[in-house]
Amino acid sequence: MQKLQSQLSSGKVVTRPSEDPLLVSKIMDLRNTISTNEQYNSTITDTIGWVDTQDGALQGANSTVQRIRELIIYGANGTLSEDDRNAITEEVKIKVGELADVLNTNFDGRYIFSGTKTTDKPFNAALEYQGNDKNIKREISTGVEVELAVDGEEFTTLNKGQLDEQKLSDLLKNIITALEDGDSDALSGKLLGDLDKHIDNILSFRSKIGAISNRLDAAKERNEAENLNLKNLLSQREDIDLAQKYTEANTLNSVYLASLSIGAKILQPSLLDYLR
Amino acid sequence: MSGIFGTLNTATKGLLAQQTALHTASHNISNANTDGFSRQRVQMQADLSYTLAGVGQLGTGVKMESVVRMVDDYVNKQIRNENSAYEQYNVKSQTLDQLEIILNEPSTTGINFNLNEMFNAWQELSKNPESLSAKTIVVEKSKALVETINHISNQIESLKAETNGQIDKNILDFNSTVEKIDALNKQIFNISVKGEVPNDLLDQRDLLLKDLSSIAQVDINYDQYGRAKINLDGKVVLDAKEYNKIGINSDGKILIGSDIITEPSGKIKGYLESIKVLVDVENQLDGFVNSMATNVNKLHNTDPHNTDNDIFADFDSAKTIKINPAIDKNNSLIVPGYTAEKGDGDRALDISKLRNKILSDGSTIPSKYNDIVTRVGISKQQSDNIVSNQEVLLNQLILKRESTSGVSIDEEVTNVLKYQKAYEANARVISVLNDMLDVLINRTGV
Repeated sequence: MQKLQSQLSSGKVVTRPSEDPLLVSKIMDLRNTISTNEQYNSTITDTIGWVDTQDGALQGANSTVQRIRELIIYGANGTLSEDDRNAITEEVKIKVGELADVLNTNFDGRYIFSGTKTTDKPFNAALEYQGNDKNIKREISTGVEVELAVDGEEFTTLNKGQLDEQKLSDLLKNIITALEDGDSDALSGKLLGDLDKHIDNILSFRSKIGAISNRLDAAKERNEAENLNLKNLLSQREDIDLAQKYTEANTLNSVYLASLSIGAKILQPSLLDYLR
Repeated sequence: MSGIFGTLNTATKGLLAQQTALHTASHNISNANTDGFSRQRVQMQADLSYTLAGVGQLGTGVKMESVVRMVDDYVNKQIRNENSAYEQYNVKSQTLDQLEIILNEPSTTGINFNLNEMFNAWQELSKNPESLSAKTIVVEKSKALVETINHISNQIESLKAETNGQIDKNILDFNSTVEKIDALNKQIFNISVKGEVPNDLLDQRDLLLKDLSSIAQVDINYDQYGRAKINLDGKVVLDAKEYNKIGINSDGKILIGSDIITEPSGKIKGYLESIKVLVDVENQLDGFVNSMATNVNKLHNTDPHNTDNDIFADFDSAKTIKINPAIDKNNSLIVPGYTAEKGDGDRALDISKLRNKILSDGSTIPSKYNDIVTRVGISKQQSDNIVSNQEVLLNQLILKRESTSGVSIDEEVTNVLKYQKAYEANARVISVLNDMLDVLINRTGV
């Protein structure tokens, strides 16, 4: 009865290891797993925020580059007046600054495209890369890691490390020079072609981010399902069946009362009761 | 020849016998609730008869043989033996109960919970390696873990001291009980040599022997004068000639005089076994602490010659483990990455992964602790089971003893009535004899 009372008041099947050592061991394991799992959940949620911010920044970068492309096509027109060309050049310069700003977006105080140098701005005003090429890892489930794409150089440089390596910053400098010189052949020819390659590069990087994002979404779903399962499992092991325990307690209580009243009855009669 | 005076004598004997029996019944009733008391009976016998010539044997009334106590020595011996085992596991179970309370699992304040919190803090730091507050949380959670471990270790230590104190107290109890038995032995001897039975002294001694058996299971024999000889593990504790005190040496071995004996079952053995469990738990806890601290330190500080960057210091025992004071003072000394880059949290991630890492001995860090709790649980469960078995056994034996030696008020009251009626009848005989003598002396003849 005492055991039932402690079960009813705590709502737990066991409150002491000695009541069922193996069950308690299992419960402790499950609690550890659940705690770890909840930590993974918070990691995944944070990481999704990070990746979404990256995606947003890349979308902004893409539209800025598209605008620069339009301006190049416009500026390649040989019939433009000096003033018009100057205006276009100015706009391109502003757009380059804009591009640097959007790629310098931070998430929770950390720059998202500077490798592990998360406290340094990845791009200067001329869009030259300042970060490193280390990727950041996150553990999203036991033994499962996801690498975040944080190397800003990857989508601002073509053919990295090869002879024909080409940086977006250099290309933009060339474009501005060409605009200032009115070199419409170069603008409509090689420079435009190169910019298109860079646009493709940014898009493919964006789809890489998208893939990571999908992976994280799936991981989150799995994590939450797992959490639910684990909690169910823990509850099955740890929590009492209230209706059953109440019935047991009531049964025991009536047995107890019955034995008390029987005890009182058999104690009563004594020979002395019948003697004067 | 039987004369009226002879009959008068017979009736007087009857009066005396019934009165004595009544007295004994009254003694029984007044001791109905006395611990260890055995009910007593006056044994009556028909007195020697004589031959009346031409008639045959003529009785001469009742004779009181002796007052005996109703005991079953075999049951008493069984009670003593089972009592020893019962007390042994009872104290063990009580001590382990306190140990369980100290370990406090499953809970949200114990070591298991705090260990998890610490690993969670490391993972949080791996996500926010730039953040000083994430480092502070790692330090604080590690500190909470270390303090819980220190606290539990200290409590186990004081439980051990308390248990040792109990052993000393029980040894004192044992020796003083033996002294009391020695005194009783002498009184019993003085009465026995006169050919009488000192019932109440025997009851008192049986009670003391039972007390003795709860402390240690003793072998008891009686000599021809009814003196109890007490042996432990074949060595004499008390007999007519010698009396040896028991003691305990620094290795926890029981001594008689200066000889080491194997500990007999009973409270002392129960406490000794509890201490063994406590020492085991302390060692396992030390092992767990050492393995946890070494592994975390190894990942956090790769230079084995320089301990400045260790997280934990003094981790050889659960009692002394603490946070490295340098890190405690300056939380920014926590290094979350392998490179100097601020966004590198790989080291913190590796430390947080320690919780699932299978170490060279095949277990993980949390499972080492889990194992300690499970073992304590199992030994407590075993003791509990033995205690409840012994309780049933002991109760049955006590019931059996009660049925032989216990005082039943109903029975005694019936006896009182019986003896009262017999007394009245004897008195009636005397008054009849008186009438007869009156007729004979006053109204016969002249």
